[in-house]
Amino acid sequence: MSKATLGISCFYHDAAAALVVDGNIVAAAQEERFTRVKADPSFPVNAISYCLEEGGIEAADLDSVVFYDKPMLTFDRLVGTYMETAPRGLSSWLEAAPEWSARKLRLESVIRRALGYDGKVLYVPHHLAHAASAYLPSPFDEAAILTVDGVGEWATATLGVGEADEVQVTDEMHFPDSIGLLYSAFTYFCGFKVNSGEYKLMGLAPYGRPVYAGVIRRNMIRERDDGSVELNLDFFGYLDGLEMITGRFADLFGGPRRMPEARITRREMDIARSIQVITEDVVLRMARELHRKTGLSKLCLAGGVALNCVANGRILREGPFERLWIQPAAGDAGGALGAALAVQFGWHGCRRPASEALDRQRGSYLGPAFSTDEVVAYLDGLGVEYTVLPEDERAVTVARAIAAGGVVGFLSGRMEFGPRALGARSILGDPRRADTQSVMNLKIKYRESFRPFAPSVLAERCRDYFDLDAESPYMLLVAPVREDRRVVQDDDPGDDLIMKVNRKRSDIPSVTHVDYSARVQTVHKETNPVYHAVLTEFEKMTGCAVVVNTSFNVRGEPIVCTPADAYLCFMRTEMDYLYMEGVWLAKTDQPVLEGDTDWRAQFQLD
Amino acid sequence: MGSERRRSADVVFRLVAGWMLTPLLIVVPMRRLRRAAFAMLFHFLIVPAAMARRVFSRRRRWSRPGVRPGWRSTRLSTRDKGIYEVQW
Repeated sequence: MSKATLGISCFYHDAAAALVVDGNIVAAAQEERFTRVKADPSFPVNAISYCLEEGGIEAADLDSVVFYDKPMLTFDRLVGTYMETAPRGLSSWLEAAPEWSARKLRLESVIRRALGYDGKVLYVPHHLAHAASAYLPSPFDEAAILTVDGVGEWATATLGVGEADEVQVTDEMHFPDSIGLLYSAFTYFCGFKVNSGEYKLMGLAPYGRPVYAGVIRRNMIRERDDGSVELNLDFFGYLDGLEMITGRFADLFGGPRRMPEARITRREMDIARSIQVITEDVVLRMARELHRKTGLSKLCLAGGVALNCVANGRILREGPFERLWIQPAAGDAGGALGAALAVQFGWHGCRRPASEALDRQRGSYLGPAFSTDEVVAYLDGLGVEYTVLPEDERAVTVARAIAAGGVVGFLSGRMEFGPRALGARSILGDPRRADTQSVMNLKIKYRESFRPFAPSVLAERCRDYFDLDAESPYMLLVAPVREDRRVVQDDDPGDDLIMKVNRKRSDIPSVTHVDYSARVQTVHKETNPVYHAVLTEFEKMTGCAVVVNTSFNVRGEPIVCTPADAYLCFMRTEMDYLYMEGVWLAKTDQPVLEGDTDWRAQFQLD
Repeated sequence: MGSERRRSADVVFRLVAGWMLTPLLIVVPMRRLRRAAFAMLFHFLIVPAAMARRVFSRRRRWSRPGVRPGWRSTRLSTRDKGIYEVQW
């Protein structure tokens, strides 16, 4: 008898839903993609509708609905924290308490009412959900599991083991000692948004030097050999205030925090590098402790900190584990999937198949897809010019446009689950051109010029470009560009960020960061044959098996979901072409977008 | 075991205090009034409780919410069916 479980994560950040049937992942999506509100935490009614539709079932057909957190334990932490810090904390209490009494403490009735569902509602501890999302879809039969995030209930990091279809968490580190919250505090101090700007801080780090690492270590954090940490709470405001840091934090770095959108100075670059180095060291020590305890050779990772692909790359290169698998939706969204998988194997007793060459995440292409007919119907409604490409000309057309220096919006197949665009909702460009990075940053993404772009490379040609001895289908590993491809720079451009960005660093300069690293995505024919074909054609034309791949959105906008989202984004930016399921549009053929509002008014800058 | 028991009692106490929030939503429908009610709850329940704990506790200065740093052992398994049906 078939068993269906719906996993839900919401009310904190990045709400999502996932449907798992008989142990197989059927669908998963983040709510933000439907509501067009970045990291939307609201109840994921749209994502749930999509998942049920994809599975061809009604809510009443579900055998269980599971939430990715234990609300009472989280509330226990909240009240416990106020009990320690009172009489401070009133403003933070007034912010949090109404939300708790209105929704979070009435979760079961919220779920039942929203779904019209009267079956089992279950709960999985936050980090167990992360651990399940890391191990159960992995290609391993046995693995050590490390989860690290800001905080979930009381835990901020856990060590565990996965074996056959069971996941165990054996050790926890507790709030307020959190490497994730420490990183977020520095994200805030450097002028980026907490819970979404962490990857910007990671991208900024290679521009700086770790000159503040000693100051941070002496004052803020005590690191132990087993990977655990202790924070000096005099510097952090997240216990009783609405801000991440206290005044002492700013004093330590010689002045107030950088305001959002202000010029990035040497100080921010050096701070970013310093905290990045410390984070990498801590995560590496955690991995070594886990290896010492388990003796296993494979490691699975999840939790928001697992999106720090520079740290992941170091674990792969320097850590004791031979193989690594990272949940692509490593943040809270992936908790919905992990909770659903945990219930399928732990509660319903489904059997997990033996290990296979490929993982069970299916490339993370778990979201909605649209047919060529649907795209055509939408465009006909708009009355715009387009061409439907014959099947054998699709990959060639896209590759030719990129090779000619064009920037192409690319919508193909099922949408990705997780924060990275993996060739289903991507903007593609030519990595050989030195100006691609600044053109795509400033004219298409409208984002900070320092931010690097990631390469997609044919999996079979990865070692020709990068020093990477592993697959990286989810763009979660950073690896050095091969030395023989680098262009070594002797002169020092000083503190000028733009000068640094624009220097040619390799024969694929647009995807080579200032430290000669790259956030690699290996593209596999088995999981995304269409994108693989584009790369193959591009290599035939140019001899280069790499393209620039960035998410299909503008700054502050969630990645596009539908053809309508894609067309709007295409028209609002200086993209040259748009490809949607075999339909080809050139910007020069398009009418002016009438009645459109400025996207900056629609999307809050992240 | 002693510390486990204390922690359990702690959890119960905090949860009871937490559930006192819920009636506020029902009996105090207006936003401003509700905000005032939550503020009163903070001043008349949480602050005195926190003070009392500090007076009667051997740990006079509380700089962190009652936890010691470092790894702590736990036993959580997806095979343990007991974990799924409760919210704590």
